[in-house]
Amino acid sequence: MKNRLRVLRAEREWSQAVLAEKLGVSRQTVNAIETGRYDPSLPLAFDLARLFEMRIEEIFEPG
Amino acid sequence: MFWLGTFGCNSAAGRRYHRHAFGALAVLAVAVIVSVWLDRRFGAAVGKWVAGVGTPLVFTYIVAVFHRYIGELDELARRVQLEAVLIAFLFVILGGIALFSVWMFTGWAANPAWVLLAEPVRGVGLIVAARRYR
Repeated sequence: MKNRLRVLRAEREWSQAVLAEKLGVSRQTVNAIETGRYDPSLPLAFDLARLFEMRIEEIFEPG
Repeated sequence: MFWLGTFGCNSAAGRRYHRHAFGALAVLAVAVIVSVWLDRRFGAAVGKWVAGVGTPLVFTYIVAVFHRYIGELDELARRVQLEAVLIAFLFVILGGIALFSVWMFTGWAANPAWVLLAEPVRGVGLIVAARRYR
């Protein structure tokens, strides 16, 4: 699954560590999602959408 | 259960787990040393009781704190840990079946301590599983 996480994070000038802290996950997890190696669970995807004030499908799209 | 890998090991949960697990092992080690000393000094047969009863108790405790540690990880770290546990589980199942076959045909029985190899296998499993998400 593709995602715009890296771009959205960069727009807000957040590091992976900052985003990880806001989400309550590890930095490695944020990195794995950004690089497309791991697709987050639905609850985590909702947390991301809430954090960026977007809909899930605006962040993620089928790869 | 002493390798935590790269996912989750630096968390507060990982540090707490290591404190509890190594603390329990330290208690066991001291108990074994004291019991061996008692055996030699007074001829008391406490050594085998400490080893036979204390070891399963300590490892039951370690399994319990490991279970708690897994529950406190984030979803990816938990997935990596569980994939490594699965690899170790399959190793034990397949190894047990293979050794059972050897025993059936040759009568040779392996030392049951071979199951301890599951831990280094889980450690290798952690490396393999973590690499997929890095």
